[in-house]
Amino acid sequence: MSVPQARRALSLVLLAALVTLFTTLLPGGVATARQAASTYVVQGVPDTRVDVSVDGNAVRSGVAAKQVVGPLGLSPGHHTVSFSSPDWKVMTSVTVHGSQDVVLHWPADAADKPVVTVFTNDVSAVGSGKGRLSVAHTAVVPPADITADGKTLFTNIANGEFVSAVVPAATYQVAVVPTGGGNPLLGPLPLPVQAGALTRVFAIGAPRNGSMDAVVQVLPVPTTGGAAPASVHTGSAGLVNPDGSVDTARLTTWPVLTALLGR
Amino acid sequence: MRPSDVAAAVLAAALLGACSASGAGTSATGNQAAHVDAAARPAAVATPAASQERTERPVSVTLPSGRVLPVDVVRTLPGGALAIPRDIHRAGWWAGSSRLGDPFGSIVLAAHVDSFTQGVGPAAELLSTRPGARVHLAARHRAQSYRVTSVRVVPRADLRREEVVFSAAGSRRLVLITCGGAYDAARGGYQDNVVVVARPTRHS
Repeated sequence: MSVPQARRALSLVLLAALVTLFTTLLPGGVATARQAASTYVVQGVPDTRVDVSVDGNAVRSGVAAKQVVGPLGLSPGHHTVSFSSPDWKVMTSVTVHGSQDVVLHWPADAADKPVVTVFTNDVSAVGSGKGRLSVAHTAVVPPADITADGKTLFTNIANGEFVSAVVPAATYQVAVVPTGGGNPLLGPLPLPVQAGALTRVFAIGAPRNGSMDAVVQVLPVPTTGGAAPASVHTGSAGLVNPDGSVDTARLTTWPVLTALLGR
Repeated sequence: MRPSDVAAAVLAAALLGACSASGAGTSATGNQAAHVDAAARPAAVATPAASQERTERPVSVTLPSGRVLPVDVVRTLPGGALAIPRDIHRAGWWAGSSRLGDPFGSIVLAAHVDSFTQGVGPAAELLSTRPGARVHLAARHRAQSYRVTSVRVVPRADLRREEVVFSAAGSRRLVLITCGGAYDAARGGYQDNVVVVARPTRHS
């Protein structure tokens, strides 16, 4: 190859490299670097088996009530999710991003087919020894309260709503009670809340046919802050007396000391 | 092969490579493009109940004298010591402790009582704080007032055994920690921690 030919070949290689660089910078290329979404499908309709498909493709068939399917590696953006039972078909579009539960459930009032509600999973960090408890209302009951060990944690949660709290890791006796009083609609049931995890509870079903139940899903979350401190070292100069008064003798020498130390 | 052929081949390869690199990640359905059936209605998006507490970390603390300290987020270091802001005019909030709006446990703040470089700190007033004194926390959107219920002097080596101070359980409380007690330069300086516990004055 002559020098002019080599130079031209080199410039073409450089051009190709430049083209490759710019194409990876296009939105399509960036999407591959973005964190993958985690989508779960929750079958919250009692007493039936459901076939689940996404974007026209079968994902799982015969999903029983209370089953959680996933995580599905769906790309961020719009997708169609379909649920089929012998009696009905529900087709819905969802916008996928982050960690989410796509929940099939009956609405609060009478309906001929179930509805779909998407719940975002809060997987942000919790303190060590703590877990995030999230309770969702997807049952055929009016607004309800959530109690833990007999104490009301949340009030007036309606169908399609949820509540969430970070609590010390422990097993709690959790109940769903009608807002305004009455016997528990569900529970009390022992619910372990693990440290470093999101524990999701979906109340499902209807009292009229005795199908009230709970779906429990546990997802890991990071922890923050480190372990409980073993020591807190908050003072070094000896300028304060035990009663809170200032040690005037030390205080007068303090500026001299700091000057000597060159700080 | 002529250079222009090479160019065409390389350009084609680059574009094809870009096409397969772009589009969907590992889609379970194998579809490159999102497929939304026209018959599909948008799913409802769950909302938090109106009673849902928004939890926030403290941004400032107002001591009984009215002195306000900004609050930094701090963590426990590998050796077990809580990292305290070096500036004695700032307090540290332990990120493993509770936030404003959490239903249980201690919100833990600590600040230096003094330093060699800055002198006596605002936290020194905690050594003469009495039960009944008022403390206030402000967060980005919410705030909470507290009333002091106890002021205790705990030998520093015993702090880790104190049950309530760092506990995540039990009814909400605010815990303020600094140093105090006898000072012995040869034995590590201040011998004690001063622990102030305060309870919320109204439901937050």
